[in-house]
Amino acid sequence: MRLLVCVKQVPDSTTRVKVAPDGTSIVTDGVTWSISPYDEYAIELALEHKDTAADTVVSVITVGGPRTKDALRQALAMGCDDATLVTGDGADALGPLGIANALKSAIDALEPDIVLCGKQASDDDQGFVGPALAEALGWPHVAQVTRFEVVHPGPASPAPGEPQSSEVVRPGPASPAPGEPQSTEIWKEVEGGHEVWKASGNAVLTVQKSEKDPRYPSLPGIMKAKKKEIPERALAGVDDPVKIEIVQLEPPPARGGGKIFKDGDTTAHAAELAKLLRDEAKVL
Amino acid sequence: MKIWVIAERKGSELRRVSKELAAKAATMGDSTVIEVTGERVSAAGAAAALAQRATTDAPDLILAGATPSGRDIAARLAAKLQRAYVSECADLVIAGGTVEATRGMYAGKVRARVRAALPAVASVRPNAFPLADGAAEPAVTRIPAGDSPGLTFVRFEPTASGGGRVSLSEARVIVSGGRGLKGPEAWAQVEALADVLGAALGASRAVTDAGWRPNEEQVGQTGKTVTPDLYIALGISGAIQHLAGMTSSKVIVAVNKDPDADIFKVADYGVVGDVFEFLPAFTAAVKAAKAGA
Amino acid sequence: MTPPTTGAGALVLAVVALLGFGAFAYRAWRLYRYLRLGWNEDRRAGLAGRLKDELVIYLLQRKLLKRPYIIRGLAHAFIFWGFIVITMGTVDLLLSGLVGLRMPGAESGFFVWAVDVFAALVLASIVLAVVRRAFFKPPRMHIALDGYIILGLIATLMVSLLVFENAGLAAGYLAAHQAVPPFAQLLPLPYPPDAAGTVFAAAWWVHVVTVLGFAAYLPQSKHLHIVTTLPNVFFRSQRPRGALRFVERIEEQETFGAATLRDLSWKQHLDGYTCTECGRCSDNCPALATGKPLDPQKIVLDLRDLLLKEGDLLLKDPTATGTPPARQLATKPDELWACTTCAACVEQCPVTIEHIDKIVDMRRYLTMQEAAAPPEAQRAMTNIERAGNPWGEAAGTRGDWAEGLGVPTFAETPDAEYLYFVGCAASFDRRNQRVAKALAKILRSAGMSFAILGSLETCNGDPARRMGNEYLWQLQAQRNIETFGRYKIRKIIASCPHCFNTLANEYPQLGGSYEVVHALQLVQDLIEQRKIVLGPGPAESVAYHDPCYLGRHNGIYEDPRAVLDAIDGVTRMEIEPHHRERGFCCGAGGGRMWMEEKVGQRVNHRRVEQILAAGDAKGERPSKVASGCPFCLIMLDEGVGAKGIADELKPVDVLELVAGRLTDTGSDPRSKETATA
Repeated sequence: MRLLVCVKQVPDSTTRVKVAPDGTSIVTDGVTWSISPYDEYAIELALEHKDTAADTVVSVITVGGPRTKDALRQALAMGCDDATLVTGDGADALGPLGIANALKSAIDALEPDIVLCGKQASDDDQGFVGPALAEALGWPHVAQVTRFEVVHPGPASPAPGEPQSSEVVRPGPASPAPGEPQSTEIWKEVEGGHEVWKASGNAVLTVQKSEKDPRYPSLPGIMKAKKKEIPERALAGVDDPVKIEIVQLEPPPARGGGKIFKDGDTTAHAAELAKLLRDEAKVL
Repeated sequence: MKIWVIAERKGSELRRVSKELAAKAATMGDSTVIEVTGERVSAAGAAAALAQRATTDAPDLILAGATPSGRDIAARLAAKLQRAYVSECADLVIAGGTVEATRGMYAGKVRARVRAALPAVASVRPNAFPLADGAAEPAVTRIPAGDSPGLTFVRFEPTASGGGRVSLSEARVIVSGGRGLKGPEAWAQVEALADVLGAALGASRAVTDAGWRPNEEQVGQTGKTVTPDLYIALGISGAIQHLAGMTSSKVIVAVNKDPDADIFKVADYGVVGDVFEFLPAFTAAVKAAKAGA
Repeated sequence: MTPPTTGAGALVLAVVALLGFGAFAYRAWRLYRYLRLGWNEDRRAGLAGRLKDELVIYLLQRKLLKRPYIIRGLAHAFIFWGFIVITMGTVDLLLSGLVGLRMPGAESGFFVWAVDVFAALVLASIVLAVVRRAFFKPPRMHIALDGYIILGLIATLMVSLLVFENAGLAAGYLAAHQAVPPFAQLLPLPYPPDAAGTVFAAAWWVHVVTVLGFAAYLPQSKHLHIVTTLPNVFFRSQRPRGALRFVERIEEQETFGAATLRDLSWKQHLDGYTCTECGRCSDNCPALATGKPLDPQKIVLDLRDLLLKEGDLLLKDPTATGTPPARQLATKPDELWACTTCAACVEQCPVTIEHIDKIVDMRRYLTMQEAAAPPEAQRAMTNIERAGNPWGEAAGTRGDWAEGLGVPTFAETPDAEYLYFVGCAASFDRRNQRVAKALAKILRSAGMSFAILGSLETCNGDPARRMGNEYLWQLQAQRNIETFGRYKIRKIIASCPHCFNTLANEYPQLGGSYEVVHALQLVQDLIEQRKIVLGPGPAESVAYHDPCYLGRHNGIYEDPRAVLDAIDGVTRMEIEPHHRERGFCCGAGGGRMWMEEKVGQRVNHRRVEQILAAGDAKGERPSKVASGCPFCLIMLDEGVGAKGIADELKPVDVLELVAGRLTDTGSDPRSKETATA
């Protein structure tokens, strides 16, 4: 089984984000870049599947400039088998549909069975690329995924191969299944529980969370990832039909200066607070 | 200006956010509220039906509630129609052939004003356009779901503790618990308060990671972003990732024994004290306050 | 005295000696070959220190004579000294028995006297040891048949010695001597003079055969320590105790940490042979005391057992890896992760076994090779990598605590004399920010030239290193060393003992050598030189809690106490008996600060109980407990909170008490809030 995880490099969740003087971008100086948290969960889900089914090949892909190679190395260090960078002029400026189209052309060549994305990237927080990619591929997608299981593996997947050149070479096209086609059960988090859906072929999963935290890479993993060649695919000619213009960025409105009851009787404060919520804040 | 609202239903009731958007859309132009019918409709199935109708109806702006399902359908539909999509809007206006929206970026650490050319699709946060009291139930056009090849619903697995409550992303009041509550046993008291308030339950990441509460209750980065009228944080210290998910709440109440806790920096009301002393007293006081005492 | 070995006797003795020593040599050779499976760590440097260790630790038995083990330590010391003297006597016996030669000085009155006195003392000590084992079993001591066999053998040796001396006297063999053995002489002489010769011969043979049997038995007994302690003490680590072993060229290694028994050094295996199973390490382990799966003695013995079990396999096949030591038992990782690296075990071990090095080597394997650290530890490491602190606070806000305090950064005053390395806890933890502010106030009051690095500072790497992530520690350390270099920093103040320890003791491994002081050392100097003046204050009883990385790891016991004593009104209370080198960990060391503690009692809760109990024993509970470590402060805060006594026992940092009493400041209004700890 071949799994492909699409990742995006974003400012790390621990980074303090500052708006740049131009008011439409953020200060990138001093920012630590890492894989978007939901994408990390997607990697973890894929690797957990590989832990249980050894013939699984987990590939990782991103669209972006040279810096985004670090995100791919991070994914390789975690245990992904190979990585692809889709890059070229304007790679960092593509809109969500453009990214979906760029990924689609790579996926046509890589031929994964299942594609995983984070449910949204924690920079623009749009959550558009996953469903858009599924639409571009003509595949079904399931959102808010927390788990998946292959119910029937379909044809045996080829062993992981080292890409020979900058063009990704597949060790052979996936042959059609001799019997029942591959099918996958997918857990989607909804209010009050999980819906289980079954994909009878290819599918895109946008991941909410993995049960375990994304794994910390082993040192052999880090060393191997450092040396691994990352093939690049040219971005040229990708259709990027719509754009969203950022008019202005600003820090969220400052809060604070609230009424804090510090000393004294907690019980009395509780009663006082209930009254304030009703009469002053008017939220009861 | 033709505006669609994709309606969503919980049980037999229209979701509140759907009603909010219906009311808002009516003030923006020629509005239609559309519901895709069918049991457990996939996003692709819903989008297929909506896209087909959109080709004849040609709405300038399609709105959906920014619920998990609303966002899912809106994104797929926008891709199908090759339109711009703006998600999780906290506010939006139409101006000169564009839609301009206010929304959070960088996990709530930045507030953005963005603009997209019409026609476009947008998902809007619950509570962005509060519903006037006694607003009329909107008229709903119902269309059957389209095909979704390759994907079938199998079964529903309920969470042991789940069900019966308002959904977190839509709730107007949220009672949220953190590590300061010391263990899952404390939630009996948290639920008692939530019952009195008609609130949804939330939790910090520490709590869901420890398995005290299900993941779906996690508020914050990698959990849910919420914007209720009232957010009550019990025993939550206020890690940056948690704050990102709830600082847009209208009123924030924090209870923590540590006066230095970061949560107090965003709180409108705070009590420094023992949460276990606070809870029963507050629950009783709310009950009394609601009764008009 | 003449040995009863004429003619055939000498031959019999020769055969018995050959068997005894042969058995010893055969087994010892096998043990040596196993030992050499370990990698060839060079432990030769520092000869002077090693010789001093032999004198103090080996000959003077210094580490045995520690609280609360003074009496049994003395008993052991007498057995040990007795053994040295009596072994000389034994050499003399064998020499004379086999070839009729006498050891030089063997017939001197002093030697005869010494042998006799020590034989009596050893015998008394043996009685003490047997009584203790049988009736007052120490809770952690591993009582096995082995111990009784050895005690029996020694007792037999002593009794037979005294008997053959006594019988020798009776038989009139004394003529050959100038001196009378004082104790042997006191024994009754129940046999007729003509039987004395036979008794002498019988006792002599019993003695000599027992010696040889002892030799044969030794290599499979814990009493092998009488042979291995000498080299084990000699080759003990001469690193500062707080410094972990440096992994050179880490990026070129094939495997990381103790992947196999070959990846532990020969010295680690020698430790296993040397363990006497006395249980002092376990006795003092805070993890074991609070119900965790860790038992430091078991760590040592399990490794020894694994070596004995798999040694042949590994010797036979050089490519064999055997069981990874960290996977020897299903519970082994839990044992390893429970360690706080507090060094209570290392402090107490009479034969200088290095428990922490073993635990960290195995953690290194789990963390770096298998990526199997506990999830919370993994998160802390990810946070260090990405945010430069284990809590995952925004790196850019590191210097925010200092805003408005007049604390410059090096970017602003590149010529500052001292760097205040704030550390992650004091930079980000709200409670500990107050400590950083207190120190800043003290330094300003003393007119010191100092600056901080602000957001250029990054985690020193200590938590990562102690979680087994040597690689991340090296990256973090290199990053800081580079920054220090950029500003030509030579002198560093740390308010966190963990920062202090790694900066002072570990950064030199990467070429970063600085003059590093802990804030309390510096403050003690400032008080002594009257560079700061402390005003009067109310009377209060303050307990002092020794942070492990100040006390045991770096021997800083006195300075913090001196600072407390210099504060008017403060009565210092010692948390007896768990203070100074027996101080009890707060539970946060070794990266435990960021890991869940789900099993047993929380270490910090136990610590709070100890503080209360110490107060009760003195008739007055302290109103504050002062420490010099941010982690201790966090843990003690949690501990008193959980016990509901936060109002009665207030954890503080000594620095806060000092800052609250500074007299000649007051120009800075903001400094007032730091004064109220």
